[in-house]
Amino acid sequence: MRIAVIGGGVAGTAAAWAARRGLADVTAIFDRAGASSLYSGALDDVPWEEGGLDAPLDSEVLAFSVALDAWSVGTKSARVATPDGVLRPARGRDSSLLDVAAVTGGRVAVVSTRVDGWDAPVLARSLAESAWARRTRTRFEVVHVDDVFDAAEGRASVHDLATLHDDPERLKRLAARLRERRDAPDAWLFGPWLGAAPGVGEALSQLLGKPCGETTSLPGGPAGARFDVSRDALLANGGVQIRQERIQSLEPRGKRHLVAGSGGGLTTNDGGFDAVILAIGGLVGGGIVLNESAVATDDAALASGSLHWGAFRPSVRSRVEIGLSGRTLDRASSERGLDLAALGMTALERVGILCDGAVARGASSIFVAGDVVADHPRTALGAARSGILAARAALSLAREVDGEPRAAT
Amino acid sequence: MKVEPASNRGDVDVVVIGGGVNGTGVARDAALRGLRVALFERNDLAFGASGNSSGMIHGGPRYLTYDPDVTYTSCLDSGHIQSIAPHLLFRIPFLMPVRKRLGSKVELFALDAFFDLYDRYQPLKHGKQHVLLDEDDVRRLEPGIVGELEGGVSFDEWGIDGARLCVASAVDAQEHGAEIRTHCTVTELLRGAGGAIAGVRFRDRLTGETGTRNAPVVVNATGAWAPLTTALGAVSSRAARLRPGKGIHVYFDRRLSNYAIVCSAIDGRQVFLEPWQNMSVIGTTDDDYYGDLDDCIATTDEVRYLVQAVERIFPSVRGARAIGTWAGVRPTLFEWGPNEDALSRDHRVVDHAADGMSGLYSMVGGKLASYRLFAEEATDVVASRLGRSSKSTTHTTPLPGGDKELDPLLFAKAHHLEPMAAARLLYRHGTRAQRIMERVKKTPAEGATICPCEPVLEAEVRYAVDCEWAKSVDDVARRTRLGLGACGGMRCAARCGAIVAEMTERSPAEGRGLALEFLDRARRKRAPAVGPEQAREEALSLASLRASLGVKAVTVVE
Repeated sequence: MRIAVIGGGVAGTAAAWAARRGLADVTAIFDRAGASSLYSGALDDVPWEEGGLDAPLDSEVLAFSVALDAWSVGTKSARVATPDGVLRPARGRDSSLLDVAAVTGGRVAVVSTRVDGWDAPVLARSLAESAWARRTRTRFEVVHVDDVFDAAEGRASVHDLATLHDDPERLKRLAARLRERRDAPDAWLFGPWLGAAPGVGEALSQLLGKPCGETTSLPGGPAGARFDVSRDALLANGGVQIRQERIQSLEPRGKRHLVAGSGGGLTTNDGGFDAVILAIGGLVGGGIVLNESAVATDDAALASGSLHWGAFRPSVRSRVEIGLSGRTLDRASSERGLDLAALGMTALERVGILCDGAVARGASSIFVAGDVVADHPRTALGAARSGILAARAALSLAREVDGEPRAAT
Repeated sequence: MKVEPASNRGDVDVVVIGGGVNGTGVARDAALRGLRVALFERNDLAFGASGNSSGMIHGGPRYLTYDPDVTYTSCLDSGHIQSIAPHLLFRIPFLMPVRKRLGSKVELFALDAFFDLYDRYQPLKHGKQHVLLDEDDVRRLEPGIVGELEGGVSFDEWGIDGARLCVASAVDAQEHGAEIRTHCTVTELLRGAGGAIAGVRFRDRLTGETGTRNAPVVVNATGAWAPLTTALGAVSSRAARLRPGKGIHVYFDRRLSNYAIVCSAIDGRQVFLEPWQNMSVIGTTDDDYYGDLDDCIATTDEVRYLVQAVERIFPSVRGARAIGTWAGVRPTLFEWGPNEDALSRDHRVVDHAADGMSGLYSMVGGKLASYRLFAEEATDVVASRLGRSSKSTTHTTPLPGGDKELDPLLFAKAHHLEPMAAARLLYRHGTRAQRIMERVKKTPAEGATICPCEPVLEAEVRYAVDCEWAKSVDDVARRTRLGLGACGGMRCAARCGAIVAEMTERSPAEGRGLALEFLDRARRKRAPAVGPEQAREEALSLASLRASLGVKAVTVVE
């Protein structure tokens, strides 16, 4: 049975991985990852500011985290530092991030070096004044380390800085320099500069014998790059076919789905797929877009009545319904359609495809995962879980097609 | 009646209420004349109409037919403003296309004659003479214009950054002895013997500190807030009544046209698509306003009114990326009857002796282009009440930074800056940019670029806090345009908040609070202009906040 997974972020990767484990013939189709490439490296199952971290993780989600090289999800929750000086709990983390909880009560050195926009004194002060640090008596101190980067390098983008540490020789030199310090702290906290490849933070920790790691990344930082690298390895090693192109349409033909892409590799003549998992991302990833034609307000469009109320649509043409708060999004709050100011800007994150479980409402063989699901909380582990559920549902449909009874999902 | 100038310590000759162009203009004028001045601003300098206007320093050909005096005085003063703040002025060439239709030949002929008349005022402001253009000329100058054209005319105006103008005036006032207090609201107008004004009571809105300042003269320069201000002295709010008119602008992430293009809105009003510093701006609307003055925000339908007006003649505006809106309330002179557009833009100093409070004067009406003249007139009234006969020198004394013009390329080379960053820095600060670069020389770390969209150095942020009364990220943004570019502060607000908090002895958590406050407010101003591109940017900035600060702290109106 053929399953197409559209989208290369966390949800799509988890779906393709899980579908492949269920022995389906899986094709992963994506141009590039959206929101997942922009993530911070902290892994949550519920949004961290909502103070979640309660339920134990699904064993398949744990298995997926292990399979994905870049991630580290332990039994206890981690605590990571953001570049704006917040110490926040996380269910897991990119393994190059420093887990401050591992050195509770100890001394953490905040590395000061010349990088544009990196202000170690402010960061250390901010981390030290947090409630957690005060409660646990964990200290944060600025430690100046010369020539982590030279003056010219310090002006480069964080991604380029991170790439420099992919070189093992350079990493060894850095470890040697840190080892020379007499006032050795219990852990070293760096900015997001420890490798565009997964595992550089861990490698440095091993060289030094002390926990070393980064703060979280801001959008465009190296955490997303490391996710991309480990995704490609996971899918290729797992025997998933990868097609790098942008999907344009998804059409039903009989019980199958025809997928057409922009690259010419995918055409409607290749027989189609038994099930499709849409993991195309929300507004950040570009899976849901503001409808241009609704924004076009010229006289002709007004006269012909071709304006679409609702204004949002999926970037892939298909028979799915866009909704918010469980209802179809057909509200008109101004002549221009939806007034985002009236809707509330956080609604931007919650607009998506309406589903029942993992099944798109009204399209029984289209399954939906990740940020594109309406009202779905935007977390990495939540996306992984929804990808796995979508794969299970798709596999169950595939078995039904093969004449087996449909298993409960 | 004459009154004695102040003699006690802590007392001043004149209290000015309001930190817009009029208030800072009066404070500067009075301080230059040697008067002791205290200025109180309830929000921030240029918080109201002054910081939210199109910034046009023009004589307004618009007023020529029914208010030629306004045109004359505005043109004259535009010339003065250029000579005192050459760095802050930028030339805006205008293009007025005429569509081909019945009678359009006559229309173009009349327009040409009209601008012949306007040309007489141009030398006052060093403007160029108008040019009559045929259809080919118009298309060559501005290829984006569509439709059959009869031709057009080009003419010449000047623009200014209203917020920078207010800051420069306030700095000059302070350097001549004035006390400037922002985020400090006047809570009462105090009465002395015989009912005359004796001073003001104030409360600092950030620290909660309260106090009084005695003064024999108080100038109410609070713009649209003027009636509220007079009411603080138990003077009827009708004594300084206005026809408050809301005006909004939409701004885009880049320059969309070479010329400012005059367009016609659905109701026949003229609106402009105008290159403004490094962006393009469309403005403006003019509607009676009855809402909250401290929280005036554009609506989606106001944005649509402007964009559709421009779209008819310059359709590519539809695909352009709107990144924000300004909204302000004009303190237009009160008149019953005429529609908003036909209201006079003249100004008046109201003496409240007739209302039972002598020594209190309200500045009502006026426009940005004639702010200096208005301030001079008001200060003349103040000086004469105090028995001083000194003359205004604000038209000949350069504003801080305006003493000479520096070459951006040489400046860039001398200070190892990107030419773009140097040009923007010199635009905002003139020769005072040297003081900012001295900071970098002293502390090289301050050379870091905080806001990559609108190149803003850390030193400039610190300078704004040290020397320009910035107390929040919002205040820094108003002075430096930090966070107002395409990324909407996503990459710089948190860092700026940390700097402001550190310099004002607040905790890093409070610094993050300042950043969130700014981002939240900026988002509300962008929301009405959001199109497809911007919606993604918004979602991204939300994700970024969640990643680093958590979004729960942001108050969301839903």
